[in-house]
Amino acid sequence: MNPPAGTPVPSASAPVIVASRLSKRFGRVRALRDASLTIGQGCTGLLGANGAGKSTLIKVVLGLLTPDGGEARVAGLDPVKQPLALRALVGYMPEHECLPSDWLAQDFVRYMGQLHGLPRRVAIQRANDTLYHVGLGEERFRAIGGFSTGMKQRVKLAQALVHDPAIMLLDEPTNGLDPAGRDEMLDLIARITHQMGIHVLLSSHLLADVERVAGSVVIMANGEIMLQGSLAELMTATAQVIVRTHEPPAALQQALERRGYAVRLDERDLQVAFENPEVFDAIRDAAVETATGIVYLKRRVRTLEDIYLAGQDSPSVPVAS
Amino acid sequence: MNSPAGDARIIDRGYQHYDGVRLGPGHGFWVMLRAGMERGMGIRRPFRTKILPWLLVLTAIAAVLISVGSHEANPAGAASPPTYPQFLGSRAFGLLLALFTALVAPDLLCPDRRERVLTLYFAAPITRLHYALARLASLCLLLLGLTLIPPLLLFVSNALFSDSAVGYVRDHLHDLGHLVVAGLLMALFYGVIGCAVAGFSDRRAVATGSIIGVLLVTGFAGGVIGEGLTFSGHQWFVLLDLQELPARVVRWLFGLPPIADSQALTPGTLDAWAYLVALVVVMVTGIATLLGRYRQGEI
Repeated sequence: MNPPAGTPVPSASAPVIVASRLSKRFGRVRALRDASLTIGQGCTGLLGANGAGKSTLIKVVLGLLTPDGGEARVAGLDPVKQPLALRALVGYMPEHECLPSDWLAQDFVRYMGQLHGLPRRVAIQRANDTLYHVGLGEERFRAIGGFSTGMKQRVKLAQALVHDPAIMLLDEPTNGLDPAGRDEMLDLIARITHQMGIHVLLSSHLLADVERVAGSVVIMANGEIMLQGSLAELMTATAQVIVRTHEPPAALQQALERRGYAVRLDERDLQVAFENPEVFDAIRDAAVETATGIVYLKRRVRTLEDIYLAGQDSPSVPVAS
Repeated sequence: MNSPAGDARIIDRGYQHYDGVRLGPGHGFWVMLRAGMERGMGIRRPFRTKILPWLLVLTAIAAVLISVGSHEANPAGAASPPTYPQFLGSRAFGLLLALFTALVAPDLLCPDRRERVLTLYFAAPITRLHYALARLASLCLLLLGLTLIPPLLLFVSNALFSDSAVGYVRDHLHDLGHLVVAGLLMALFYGVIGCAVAGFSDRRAVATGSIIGVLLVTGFAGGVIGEGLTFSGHQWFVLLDLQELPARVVRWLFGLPPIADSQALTPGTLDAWAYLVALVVVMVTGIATLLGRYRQGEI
């Protein structure tokens, strides 16, 4: 790729987006609260319920909104001071409908390519190619107003892709799609990341979407970053050992806590944080010490849903590296 | 037997990265300006969107051709073709400009806001200032076509039907300069008013009505207060009549008294500079309003 002169491209190992203590307020609503995050290469999922601050975060890193505090760097560029250079490098797909209904799909995608700095002939060629890639090759000369929701989402994706960005910010790209359309959209996003080599920040409130295409995840709630890290690390780091006992488990819980383990009582089972394999020895010793009979113990790797719910519930959950 | 090429099919073109030149925000501005002009005239759009703008342009041209043609066909019977200030300063031409503005300005600005396309435009490497100025420039250039082509046609017709075309052009070269200046002023004036008003609505019909309403209400207020009442300083209220402002400046440009039809009703005529200053104030206010409207706001 050849972005505009002077525009840096993320190096092979450099983080794509770095934000430090970003805050943004709309009247009395604090949409972002000291949000700090580091987003690496590949596809990263930005998870959070509606109103968590995902869209605001995306608009701030794109330079569409000015933060009240903190700073961000996207491929080394400051969204506040270098918004134009940054936007030449980034493709953005908003959450809401944003397409002109009386334009032909090819005309609009070509136009967006030109606005991003492509010469007209190149923009025409790339508009055709991009619409072909998103599956609208045959429909590209139809007016957007007559498209289904799924086709409109594809046009939105195509206009974000036409200028060959280094980074794509996709805000709820599967919104309003039926299961088949959602499946195809996620396949497209996976292709963009793995075959086209474009870094993607995928904002969604759908865990399954993020789990399917993202290698890393950032979880937001109430404008705060609750958790971030690679999915594999997070799932390992938040693994647990489930212990069921004959007797009430309070004594065993206290004995484990005295040994320094984080233990939580969930109905009749104890959930012991799996920090290392020695936890099994510690459980055995504590059971002997408290004369507690163990019915079973098993290791449980948490799903993204568990991680998400933990992140939503407890703002103090430590942030994974 | 099929040839190998006959069996070939493209399964996947593959994604191609782009290594070529990327142009800056200035290019984006010109792209947007051109797209705005095409949109205003219904180019690359359904046929129904072409009808009204082209009808208005053709009406202005036809008015000139009919006037000149009928006079030349029957010099004794038909009225003389209008003079340049008569043509540019006439209420009919002002109405035509107002209708064109009320038709095109909302079409340039309202759908972008209503369909939230602004989000995508502002996510491209152009600024909000680029967007607002490109839209304004598109409208002004289209209006310039309307304010320049018919009077230039009148000029050419007069030259062709005169005893010596070269002599006519030589003798009326100053008129040509005035025509261009007057055309620029009128195009900018109507363009600024149109964009400033249309920028406040996301509905085309509301914006169209508002533009016509602003011109009518100010014209009514200027007429009633400035010319109908007799209190001290009442004549200054003539300046409220937005549609009359450019007409009066045009007359001044051509060396005629600035007050047109209403001169007999206005005992205390204002100096020409007052109309020029009022015209500039309206344009500066309009541009500031337009830019202010797009400087902040929802994206």
